[in-house]
Amino acid sequence: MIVDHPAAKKVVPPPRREGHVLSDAVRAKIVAEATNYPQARSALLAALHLAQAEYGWISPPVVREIAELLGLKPIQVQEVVSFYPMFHSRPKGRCHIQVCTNIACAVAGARKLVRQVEDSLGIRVGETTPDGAFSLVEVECLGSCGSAPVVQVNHDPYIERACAEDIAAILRGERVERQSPMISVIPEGVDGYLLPPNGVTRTEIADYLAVGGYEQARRAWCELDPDAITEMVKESGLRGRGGAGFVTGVKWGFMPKNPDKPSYLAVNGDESEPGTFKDRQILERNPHQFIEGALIAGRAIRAVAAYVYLRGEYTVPYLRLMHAIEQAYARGFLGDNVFGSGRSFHMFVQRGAGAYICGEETGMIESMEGKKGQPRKRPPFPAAYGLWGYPTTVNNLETLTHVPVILRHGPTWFRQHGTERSTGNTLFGVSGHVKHPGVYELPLGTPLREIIEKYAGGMANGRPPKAIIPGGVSMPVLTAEHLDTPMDHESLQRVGSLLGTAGIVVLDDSACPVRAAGVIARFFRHESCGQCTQCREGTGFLYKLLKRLDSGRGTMADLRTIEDVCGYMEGQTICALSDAAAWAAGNFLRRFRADFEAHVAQRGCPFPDSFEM
Amino acid sequence: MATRTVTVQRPAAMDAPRGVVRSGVAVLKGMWIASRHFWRNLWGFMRGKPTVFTVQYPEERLPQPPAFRGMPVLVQMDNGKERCVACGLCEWACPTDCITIYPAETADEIERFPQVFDIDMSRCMFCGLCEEACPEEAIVMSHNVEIAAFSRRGTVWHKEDLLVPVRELERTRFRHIRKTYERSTEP
Amino acid sequence: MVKITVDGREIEVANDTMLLPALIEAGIHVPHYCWHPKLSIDGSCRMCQVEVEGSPKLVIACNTPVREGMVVRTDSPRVINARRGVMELLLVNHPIDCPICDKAGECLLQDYSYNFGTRKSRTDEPRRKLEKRKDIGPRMILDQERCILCRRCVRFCREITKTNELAVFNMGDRSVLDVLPDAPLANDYSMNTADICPVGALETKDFHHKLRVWFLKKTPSVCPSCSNGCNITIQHYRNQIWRLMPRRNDAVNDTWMCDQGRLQYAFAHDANRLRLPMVRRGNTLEPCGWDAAVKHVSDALRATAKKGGAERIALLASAHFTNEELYLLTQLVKVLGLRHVAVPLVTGSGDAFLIQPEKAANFTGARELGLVAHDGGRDFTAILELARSGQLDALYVCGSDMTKLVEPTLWQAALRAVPTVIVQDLFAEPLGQFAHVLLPSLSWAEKSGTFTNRKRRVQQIQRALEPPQGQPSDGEIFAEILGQLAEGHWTFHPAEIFEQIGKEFPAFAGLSLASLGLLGAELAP
Repeated sequence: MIVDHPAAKKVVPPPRREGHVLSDAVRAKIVAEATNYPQARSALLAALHLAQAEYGWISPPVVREIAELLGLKPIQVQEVVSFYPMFHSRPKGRCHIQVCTNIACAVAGARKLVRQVEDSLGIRVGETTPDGAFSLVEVECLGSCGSAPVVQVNHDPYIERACAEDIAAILRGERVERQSPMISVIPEGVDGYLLPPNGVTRTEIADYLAVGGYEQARRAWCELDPDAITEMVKESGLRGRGGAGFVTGVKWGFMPKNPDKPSYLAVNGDESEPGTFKDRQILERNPHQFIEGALIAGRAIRAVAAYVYLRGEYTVPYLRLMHAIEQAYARGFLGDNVFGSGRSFHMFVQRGAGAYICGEETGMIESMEGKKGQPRKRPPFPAAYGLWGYPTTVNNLETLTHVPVILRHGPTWFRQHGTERSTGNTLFGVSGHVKHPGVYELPLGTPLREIIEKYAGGMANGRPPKAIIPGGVSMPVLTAEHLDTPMDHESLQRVGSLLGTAGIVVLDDSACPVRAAGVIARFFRHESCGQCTQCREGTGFLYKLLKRLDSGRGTMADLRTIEDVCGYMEGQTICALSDAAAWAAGNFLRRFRADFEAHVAQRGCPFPDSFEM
Repeated sequence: MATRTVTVQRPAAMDAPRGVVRSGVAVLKGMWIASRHFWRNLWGFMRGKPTVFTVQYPEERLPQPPAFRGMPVLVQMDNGKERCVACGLCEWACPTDCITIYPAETADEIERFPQVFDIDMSRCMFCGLCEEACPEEAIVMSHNVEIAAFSRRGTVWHKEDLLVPVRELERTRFRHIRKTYERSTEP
Repeated sequence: MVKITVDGREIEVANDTMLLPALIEAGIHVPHYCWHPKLSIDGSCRMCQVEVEGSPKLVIACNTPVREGMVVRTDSPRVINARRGVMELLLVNHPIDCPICDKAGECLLQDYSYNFGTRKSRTDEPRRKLEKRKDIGPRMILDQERCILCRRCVRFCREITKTNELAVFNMGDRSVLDVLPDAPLANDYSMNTADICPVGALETKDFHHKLRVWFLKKTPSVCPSCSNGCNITIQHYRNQIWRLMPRRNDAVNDTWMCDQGRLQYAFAHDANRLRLPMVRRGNTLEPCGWDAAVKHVSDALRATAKKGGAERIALLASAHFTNEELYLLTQLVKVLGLRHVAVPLVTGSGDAFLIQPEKAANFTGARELGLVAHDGGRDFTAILELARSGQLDALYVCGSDMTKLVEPTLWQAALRAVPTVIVQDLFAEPLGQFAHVLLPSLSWAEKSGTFTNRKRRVQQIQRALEPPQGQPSDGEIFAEILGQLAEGHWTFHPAEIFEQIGKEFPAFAGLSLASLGLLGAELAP
C-alpha cells in the first residue's frame, strides 16, 4: 500500500454473513488488492477474476458480495461484468473452449476448428453442453498470430498451431499443452537489444543483473536528474510503440515538474490489436528489461507508482511478470526505498478482462479505475487528469523496454538504429500466409519485402502476396505494389498507411478481400465500447454490408454505402477505434475495388480457395 | 390612338311570314329527333332489350373506377382485429376533424390499438387524406356511399361498423394506393 | 462576455461556457441528444458537431469552451454530412415504432431525421431484438430497442437523485439500458427521465398510449401540490388535463418536478366537481342561482355581524388560493372586522431536493398577506373549538384541508354546532352535508393569478381549463360578496388586484404581473 498517498484509505470489509458465497480466502485477497489503489473500486476487475476463478461464474449473490466488499452499488458491478467478455454472468462449461477467429487465425482455418467442436458436441457458438462439461465461444485476437490458429481452454496457456487432433483431445477431456517453439528472434546480423540474444529467455533477475541489468535504473534513481533523463529519451527520438508513435520524451515532458499530488506511470500491456503479439515476447523472455524501463520512466516523470495493465488472456506473461516483480522487490529495486535512494516507487499489475478498447489510453485508465473501459473525452488529457484524476503518463510496454539501452549507450548510439525520424529497433510481428510467422527484432526502416521474404521465409503456399496489413488491422491495408516500402512512420504515411504496432499480416491471392474486411469489421463491431453513435452503429453496419456482399446479396449501391459510412466514422468520435474501423473497411474497398465489384456482378464470392469468415 | 372601324354585315331582317315558317320548321325538327328516340326506346323496352343507358338503381349499380373514393373503412386482419394501431395520423390529417380515436394498450406483440375509432360521416368529405396519411394501410377509402341515416347520431360510425376484411381489399384498393401514393425519396 | 463569429454573424456570448449552451442561448439551435443543461457533459451522441476555425476535425460543441474570436460554422457541408451520418447510423437499429410510440410529435429522432437525416434506409437486415414495454418501476416503462444510448437518464439517476437505478450494460451495438431486477426505477423523481429521454425509450405509465402530443395545448403554470412552486406546463385538450410537465426555472426547480406533483391533476377535471351553488332548505341542499347564493352569504354575514358582532364569525381561508383571492379575503376581514381567521395547512414529508412538507402552493402568500395566525396555521383548531362550543354563529370554510388535519368527529361536531356554515370547495363532499350554503370553487388549473412559494418567490399561474359557462372564480365570488357588504366598486381583475397588493404590502411593491413574466420574482426582504 502506498502509505503516504493522500487518498489512501484502509478498506474495512463488512463481516461475513448470510448470503455470502465467496470463501474467506477470496474475500481476503480482494480486500488486500483494494489496498493497492487510492480507490477501492480499482480492485473490481481483480475481484471479479478471483471470484470467477473460485465460483465459476459471476452470479447475482457474487455481484452483491463484491459490491459490498468494495463499497459499490450492485449495478456498478453488474455493468462491469456485462462489459468484459472474460466475465460470465451465466455458468460456462467446466471446459470453456475459446477459439480465436480473427484475421490471422481465420486465414489459418479457425472456422474448421469451430465447426469441429460444434459438430462433435452438438452445440452452437455461445452455448454450453447440457451436462455443463463444455462451452464454446469465438474470441478475438489472443495475441498469438504467429502461431495461428490459437485455442485457449479456460485460463490455460494457449494451444498454439491448434489442429483437429488437439480439438479431439480437448473434447476427450485431455489437457493439451502446445506452445509454439521459439517464435521471437533477433535475425542474424541485427544489433538487437529488446530480446535476449541467441534465443535465451532471461526471466531470472540474476541473469539480467549479470549482463548489467538494473544499473541504469540505479543511476536514474540515485544519480540522474529526472528532466535530464527525459531530455535523453527525447533526443533519442524514441517514439511510442503502442500504435500512435508519439515521441516518448515529449510525452514525458507534459508531466508536472513540481507535483503537489501523486503522478503515475500507466503501462499499456493490453496488446489486443490483431496481428500484434510482441509485448508478450518481452514479458515471456525479458521481463526485467521492461521493469527497468518502467523504473527509469517513473523517475523521469516523478511518479509514485507504475500500474501495469496486462490483458487478461495472457496467463504465461502474467506469471512471468509477477515473478520478475517479486524478484525486483526482493532486491529493493521496487518498494519504499528504491535502490537505497530514500524514495519509493511501486509496481502493480492489473489484469484486463478481454476488451480491446482497454488498450486505448483513457479506456485503459477507466478500466484501471474499475469501470467499463469507455474512453474519456479529451481535453482533459491524462497528463493533467489521468488515473483517479491525477497526472498520468501512459506508455506501451515495448516502448519502456527501449529506455534502459538509451541510458546505457546514449541517444547517439540509439539513433544509429532505424531512420532519421523513426529511431530504434522494433519487434515486427509477421503472420498470415508466410512460411515462418513470428516476431522479429529489426531496425525501423527495414523494407517490407525484406521482412516478408528474407526473415519470414517468403510466401507459405507459393502464391503471391496480395493484401498486406502493415501495423495491425487498424492500419490501412497495402498491396503488392507497396512491398518496397521501408517500415517506418514517414514512409508508410507517404503510401497512405501507418506503422501502428508493426504487426504485419500477409494475405496471398487466395484470400478474398471482402472476407478479410469482413473479419476485421466483425472484430471492430465486437470491440466498440458503444459510446459514440457512429462507432457503435457504424461498426455493426459495416459488418452487415460486408456480409451482404460476401453472401452475394450485395449491390453496387452498397459499395457507396460503405464509403459513406466510413466517411461518417472518421475523425468524429471520442477515440480512434471508429477511425480504425473506417480505415480498415474503406481501404480494403479502395485497394481491391475490382474484387468487391466482382462479388456484386457474380452474386457471390469469386475466390473459391479463400479462407472462411 | 388610331381607331379601326369595322362594319358588321348583318343579314337583312327576315320578314314575319318567312321567320315564322323557319322557326316552326326548327321546332318540328327537334320534336322529330326526340320522338325518334322515344319510339326507339319504347320499342326496346317492349322487346325486353332496353337501349337507354339509364341505370336502374338500386337494382343496378354503376361500377366505379379504382380511384373512386367512397367512405373510409378500417382494414380487418385475418385474426379479426383491426390493423389500425391508433397512431392518430388520420385524425390529424382529416380536414373536417371527423375522426375520433382513443388509443389504448394491448397485451399483444403490437402494443397499441384504438379502443375507440369513430368517424362522423356527416362531416367526412371523402377526400382520402386519412388513407394517404396512414402508415399501416389500415384505413382505406371504400366504394360505399350508401350511408344515409335517420338521425345525427346515426351518422357516426364506430370501429366495429367500419371493419372490412383485408382480403376484400387486397386486389382493389391496396393495389391502387400503392401505385398512387409514391412516398418521398432522396431530397 | 466574449465575441465569437457564428455562420458569418458576430455574437456576444457568456465567458466560461461551452459552445453549445452559448449558441442555444443566442437562439442558434444546434441539434444535440446527450447534452442537457442540468447534467454533466457526455459527448457521445456526436450530434452537436460543428466546425471551428483552426481545428482540423469537427468538434463537439458541448465540450468546446468558447474563446474570444472563435469562428464557428454550423452549416458547412462537413457539418451537414456529419449530422446526416449520425442520423443514418442511429436509424440502422432503431425500431420503426413511430405509429405506436408515445414520443411521436416531440421526438428528437423524428425532428432531426426530418431536418438533418437521409430519406431512405439502406439496410433491411434484421434489427436488434431487446425488451419492449419493460416495466422498470412503479411509474415507468422502458423500450430498450428505442434507446439511442445518450445516457441522459443514467446521468440523471447518478447526479440528480443519486440513486443509480439505470445503467448501460454490454458493449458496442449490444449495449442495452436496463435496471437490476431488485432495484427498480422508483425514486420520487423517476418520471423526469421520460422528459429528458430524447426518444420514446423511457415512457411514463401515466401518459402511455393516452393522446397524441400534437393535440395538446400548453399553458405555463405552477404546481399546486406543495410550497416549492415548481414551474410547470399544464398540457390540456378537450378541456381536460392530460399531463403536467416541468418548466425550466433555475431559481426554483431547474428542469425537474417530483412524481407526486406531476400526477396530481385529475381532480381538476373530475366529473364529480361541484359546479352549481347550493342552499340548504330543510334537510337537503338544493341548487340555486349564483345571485341567490351570494346574496344568502352576504345576508348571513351581515345579519350575524349586526346581531352578535364580528366575534361570532370565523373564516378558514385556503392555502390553495391565489394571492389575489387571498387579498380580497383580507378585505372581507377588514370590512367585517373579523377576529377569528386561520389558514389550515396539510403538512407531510419532504426531502432535500424539491419536495416540501407544506402541501399547498400559497401558504407563504397567506402569511405575507397577514391571514395566517402566529403559530403557522394551527389556530384553526381553536376556531373549531369556538364553533363546537357554540360561540360562532357563522363559519366560512374555504377548502377541505382542515378535514385532513383533525379527527372527523371533531370537525363534524364543530360544524354541526354553527347555525350558518358557508362552504366553498371543489367537491360537494366531505363538507357539503354540513353546509348551509355550498359554493363551487375553481381549481388552480382554471384560474389565473399568482402564488408565493416557500422562498417568497411570486410566480404566475394561468388558466388552462375553462370552467362551465357562468361559473365565477373564487375571486369573483369574494368580489360579489364584498360588493354587497361594503361601499365601493368591487371587481376581480388579477392584474389590478396584484398592483393593489403592491400598494398595501411593501414586500410586493414595484411588482406587476408583466414584470413577473414566466419565471416570477422574489419579494423584497
